[in-house]
Amino acid sequence: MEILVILLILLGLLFLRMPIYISLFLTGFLGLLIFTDLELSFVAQTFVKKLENFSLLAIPFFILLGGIMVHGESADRLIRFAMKLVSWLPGGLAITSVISSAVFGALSGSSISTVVTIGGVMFPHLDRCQYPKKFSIGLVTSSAILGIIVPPSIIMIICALTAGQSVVRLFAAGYLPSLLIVIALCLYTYVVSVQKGLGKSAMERFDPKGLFKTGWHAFLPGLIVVVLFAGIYSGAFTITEASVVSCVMALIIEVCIYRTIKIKDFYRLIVSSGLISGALVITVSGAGVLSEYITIQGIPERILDFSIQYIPNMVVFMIFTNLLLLLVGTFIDPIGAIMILVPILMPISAQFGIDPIHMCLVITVALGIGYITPPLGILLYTASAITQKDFVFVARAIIPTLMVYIVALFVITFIPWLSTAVPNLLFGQV
Amino acid sequence: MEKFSAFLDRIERWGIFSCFTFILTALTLGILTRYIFKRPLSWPDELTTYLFIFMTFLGASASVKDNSELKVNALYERFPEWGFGLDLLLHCVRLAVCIIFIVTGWNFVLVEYDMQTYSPIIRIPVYLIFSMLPFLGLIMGIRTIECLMKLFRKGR
Amino acid sequence: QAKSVSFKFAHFIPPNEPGAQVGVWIEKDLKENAKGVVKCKYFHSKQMGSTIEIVKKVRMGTLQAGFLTGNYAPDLDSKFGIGTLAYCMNSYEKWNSLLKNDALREELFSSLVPKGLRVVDVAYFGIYGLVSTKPIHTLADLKSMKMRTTQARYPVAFWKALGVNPVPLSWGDVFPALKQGVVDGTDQTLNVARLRLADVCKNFTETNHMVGLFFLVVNEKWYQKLDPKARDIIFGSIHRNFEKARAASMKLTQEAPAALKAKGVDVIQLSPEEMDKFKQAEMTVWKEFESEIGKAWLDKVVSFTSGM
Ligand code: NA
Ligand code: NA
Repeated sequence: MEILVILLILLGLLFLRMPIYISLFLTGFLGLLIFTDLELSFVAQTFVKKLENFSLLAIPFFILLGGIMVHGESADRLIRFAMKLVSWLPGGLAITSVISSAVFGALSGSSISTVVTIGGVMFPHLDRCQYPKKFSIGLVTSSAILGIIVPPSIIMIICALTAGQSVVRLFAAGYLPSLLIVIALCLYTYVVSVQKGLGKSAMERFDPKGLFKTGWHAFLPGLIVVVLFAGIYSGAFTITEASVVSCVMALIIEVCIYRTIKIKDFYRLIVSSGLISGALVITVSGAGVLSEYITIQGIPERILDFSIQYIPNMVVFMIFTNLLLLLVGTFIDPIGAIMILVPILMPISAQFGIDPIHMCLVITVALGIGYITPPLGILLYTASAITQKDFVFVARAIIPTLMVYIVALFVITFIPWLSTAVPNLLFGQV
Repeated sequence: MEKFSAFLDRIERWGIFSCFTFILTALTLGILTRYIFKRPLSWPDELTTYLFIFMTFLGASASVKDNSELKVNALYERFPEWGFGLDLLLHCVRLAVCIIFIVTGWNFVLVEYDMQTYSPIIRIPVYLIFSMLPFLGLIMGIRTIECLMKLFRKGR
Repeated sequence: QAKSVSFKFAHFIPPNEPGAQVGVWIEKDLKENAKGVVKCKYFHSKQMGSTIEIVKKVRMGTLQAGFLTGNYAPDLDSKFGIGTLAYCMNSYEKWNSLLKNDALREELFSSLVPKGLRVVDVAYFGIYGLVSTKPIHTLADLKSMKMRTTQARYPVAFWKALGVNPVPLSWGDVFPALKQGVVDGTDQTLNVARLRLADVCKNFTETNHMVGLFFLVVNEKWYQKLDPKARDIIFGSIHRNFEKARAASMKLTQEAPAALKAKGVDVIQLSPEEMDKFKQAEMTVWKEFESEIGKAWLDKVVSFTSGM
């Protein structure tokens, strides 16, 4: 009964278009008010304390890093290098958008900036080489999810922190699954291109000289990637420090070497990153109040007791969880969804003996897919805005790659090794 | 009101800019001293965490006016004719939340003032840190009232 | 029929140590033996947040009681500095006797009354030593190592006095940091070293500089207004179970060296000369904090425990 009332309040607030953090906060607040006899001033403490977490500081810096690289030349240079790398393959140009999304997504925590950046560069090229619009929009838009799945990712930071897991471990867990998705998308592109004879005009010979040249041009932005990962995995930097170091490097490269960013731009970049970060991070505070209510009332345990009667084993649980995540991800931003679902799903998954890092990764990937699930994927709107195509067209265009993602999601779900192998290798078993 | 709103704009944006640049500088300094001079500083981590909270609150308040809060827009897009009602509801609920922030936040500040505790490294009084919440309630409340006035001026 | 008294209390660690298990025992005890008089609920494992958050919730009356760590206690009242000052109250024997001494115990326990709180009992967390990836036999061994510290004034001062520039890390980051070599060690209790760090740290040096403590604090206003019958029941249960928890902690400490050795950890005892060097080095911290803790109070405690 209590759970039903709370769920109704939460869904009601969300669908009446209350900001996500307010929906979460108010649901928690009302829950505490109605169902407990606690004195409520402590919600003030919870709301502020949830932000008192040094790892969260990485979020504005990863947003800023993406901003700097897009505003400057770094993103362009990386894409041009990726283009030379694979453009001699059948469908090479299309494969480039997948690879660039993965590389750029590796640096940017955000999928929207990935689709805007990669799309902005790739769509004109793809059009020129006569790739059907439907095919190219579907591919570029869905590749942008790699921004979430390839570490470092803001969604992963929030997911790990909410689940009480190590952020670095979850990052490490992301590599094989994102590699799997990249391979699957490339394979899909290759097969379709060969079958339908797409992108023949773009086919060029393998060009080692051009490859070397673009590689040399992309050397400095590439260095940021290397420092970022080497720093995190050698333990030289914490996630936050690594995000700061890569921002400083990107700034030095863009301001002093490429001379693309001026003081005036610097002010705008900082302020806009701060604004985006604020609107996003405040969700953590709001969710803190809801999750405090949920733990105080022992709701995960109650749902567990209930669901264990109906869910006979791990496989059914994971199928059910994936469907739930895809559904929720369709309507709600991943951060809000994480805040609502992680405190409930984690204890249940532990009961089924699922590795918490694996669980976090499945959650991240499934919610990431929510970005492109019609009728509400946020990337679909973004893509429709930048390509000037109507939303229904974009929603149809996405279906083949959406299928690729969903198959990949189930593969990742049922082969936990994909997510646990790298972290166990790097940091040992827990 | 217009003037005051522009003033708030400036506070939000310059506040975010100052906090962000300060955090960037302090953390860079922290990393440099640790690797080059082998002397880790303990204050940057703590101070930047509090500035980050402040920056987040300023950003949240600014997102009211910019209409950039994370929301589920399904209903709004499906039924554009409900726009006025939904907006009105949004601002009223947000105003109520701002009042909750001010009231509970203020109560908590009083408790902290009574307890007289300090942050572990830089020894800032803890009540100062928590007074950020009633402050958020205040500026976001003003922003919301501003939006309500604009909404009514525009009418249905 | 009077309304039953609500007794909600919280700890920030899971109940896998006597110092937190005690809450489970009290909850069980009150549920079985005080039906209709006391309605008891125990929150653990961060359900109610960190020790700081828990204490504030007790102060606000959201909770009736909560566990306060020895490390955070000096921030609330400087008298608790005797617990965190290295080589001051650094054995079970000293604490056991202080708890039996009515005057000293009451002076310490009631020091939070002006802040609306009262300490009612103490549980142990264990005896602190140094857990490390490289062996520490002497003070000189320690000086070349990167050690982790908690972000609080006493621990930081403890390391600086030993000539170590400590790396502040939260507990959750310690294991990966040790694994990656970001730090070489930390101070920790024997029992936690056995449970959490034995896989990566193969050395434990018995510096015995501190006893880890959990103080149970209650809301003073609630305590004063409490119906005498309910008070006797609740506090009877608390004192009985805390006594049992302290005994369990002492037993764990006794068994820990053998258990550590079984896990392949080298348990190192300092030679008397080296132990002296550690104690001497910490005298600068004593000087630094003496006036803050209060000279009269510190002297009283030192003379009371001299010879132990
Ligand atoms: Na990423
Ligand atoms: Na979505």
